[in-house]
Amino acid sequence: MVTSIEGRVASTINSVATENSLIVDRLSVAFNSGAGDVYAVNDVSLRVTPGKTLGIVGESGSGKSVTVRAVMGLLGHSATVSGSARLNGEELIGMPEDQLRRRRGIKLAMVFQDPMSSLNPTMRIGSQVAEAVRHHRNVGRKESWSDAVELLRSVRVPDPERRARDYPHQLSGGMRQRVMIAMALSARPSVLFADEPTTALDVTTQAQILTLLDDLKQRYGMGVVLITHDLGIAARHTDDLAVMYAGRVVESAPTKKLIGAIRMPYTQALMDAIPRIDAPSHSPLATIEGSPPDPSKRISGCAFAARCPHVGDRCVTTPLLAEGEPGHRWACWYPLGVDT
Amino acid sequence: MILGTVTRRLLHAIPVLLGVSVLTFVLLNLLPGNAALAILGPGATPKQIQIVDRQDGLTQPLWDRYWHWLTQALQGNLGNSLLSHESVAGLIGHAVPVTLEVILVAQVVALIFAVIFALFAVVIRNPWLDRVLSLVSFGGISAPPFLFGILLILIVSVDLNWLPATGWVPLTQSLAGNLRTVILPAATLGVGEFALHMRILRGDMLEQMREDYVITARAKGLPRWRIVFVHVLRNSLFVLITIVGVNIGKLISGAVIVEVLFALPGVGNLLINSITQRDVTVVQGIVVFVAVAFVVINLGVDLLYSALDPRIRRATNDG
Repeated sequence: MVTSIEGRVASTINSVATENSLIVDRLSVAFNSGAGDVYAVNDVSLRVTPGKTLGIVGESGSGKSVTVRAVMGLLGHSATVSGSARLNGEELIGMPEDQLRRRRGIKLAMVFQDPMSSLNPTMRIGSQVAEAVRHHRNVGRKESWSDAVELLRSVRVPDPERRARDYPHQLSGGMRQRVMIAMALSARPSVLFADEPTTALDVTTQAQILTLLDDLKQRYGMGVVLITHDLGIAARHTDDLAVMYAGRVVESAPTKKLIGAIRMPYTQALMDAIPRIDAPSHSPLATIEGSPPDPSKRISGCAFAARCPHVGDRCVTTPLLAEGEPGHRWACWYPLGVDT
Repeated sequence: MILGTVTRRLLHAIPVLLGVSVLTFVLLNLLPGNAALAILGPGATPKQIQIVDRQDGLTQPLWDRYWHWLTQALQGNLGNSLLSHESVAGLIGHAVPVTLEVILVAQVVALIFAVIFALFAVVIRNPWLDRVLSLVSFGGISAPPFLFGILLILIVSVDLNWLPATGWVPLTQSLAGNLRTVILPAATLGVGEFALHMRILRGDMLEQMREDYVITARAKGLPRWRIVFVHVLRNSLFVLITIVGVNIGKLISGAVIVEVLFALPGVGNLLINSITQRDVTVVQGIVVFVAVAFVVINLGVDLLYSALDPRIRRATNDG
């Protein structure tokens, strides 16, 4: 359904109304550690539009989570954030904590990877959802509790009246993640960040949670950012994709366009790493040789060069993310399927 | 079931209590001097001492005496004092309210202050407050309690003459008088408790602040004070309760010192006097009584723990 409008979105990307969209522009994050600065995120630019899902894909340590946590203002004092993130035209980076706090949970909400550790183990789940409701709207305990039950119902927790009185350890992983989503939805946020929401869940539950997120996005018209390391999930559940490597976006495009014509060798390597059901049995799983570069060192040249099967002479200078085709950007000197 | 837990724990306590009573009996027997000497005075002849000893039953073999004591104790009779011939249970019964009040006031006030200061330190995150608090807690933990007691007596009682340095007014007699006599002993006993609890609670809360559920709470947009008061404190209480339980022994032995220092008619003072006078039945009674109290309080702490933690509550209900 996206195909028909994708060209239009791509070509008019700068003129789309900014209402309720999140525009991240050249965001960088450095962590101040005793042993020197760690450059976790470099010059990342993203756009999240209402009713659409942006997938951020990459290996562990590629800076996906740090990027969204920087936008939420959830990084500690050791982080230095520069660049810009504007929600509805309002700059979030550098906003005083007290003001940013009032936007968290209301304009920007987040669902985390491990729903067990992300819920308070000593509070009933109903109370934890109701707390979010009460924080956003000035309502009494009784009303916030019944709102919490309704929220649990909306994320398809069965028998929500009874379940609300349970503690997190009494629920399954999938139910816990539904509770997290209910909590995040309590104020109908403009943007929902889902940070690897299904990594800790089994495959059937994964599919249910992702479908739920798709439905809720449609129903509430919110922008969703789905962080995942699984390009397969991203291909099925996102409208736009940004592939991150070593703190940078290395390829971005509308999902269908990107999957149809992968340009960046790293993206291709992620694609090849997905186990295929039609592969001959007992064939070895594809892996990406080597490991991501040490983020405490400034890299000169392409960060992926050391692991890249298509590395060439020009890779010693850093390739910039540039639009190679309408709506499709990549940061590579030797893009796949393109004559250079 | 809770009842099962209680029974199991009480059964475990039996060998402990037996061991304590045997050990006290043997150790007291090894002490030089005896009650007869205390009664008769330094001029007593060996003959006179032997007569008194025989009256007290001290000439019988150690094992026979222990067996006699044990069978009597199991029937609730802890025997009589060798000196005053009052019943040991009666003597302890008179002294317990004093000790209990001092310990309770010290513990409760120390806990209240520890929670307040720890919350304050974690919520406002001021480096100067942290430095002052860590200095105070370091001093409070490392200094022996009597040092603080002597300082209090010197300043509050001797110099300022605000509160009495010694003596005890029972609660049944006068509330104000009772408060005046309990403040200094409880403060002496409580300062170390406060320091320890504050330090541990603050450390655990700071650790809890790095937990995922705190990030969730922050992502909800909750203010820091609410995260600390509602989410973190509740999860840190378990550590606090554990420390309270572990520390009860120290509290009881601290009470002995404080009672001697402030001349309070409590169990500690009774114990010290009985030891110096070789009043072995009283010493024996007190030691066993304290051991039982220790077991019971620890059991109570454990039950409190499972009442507060829904994860344990479920485990005990299932098992």
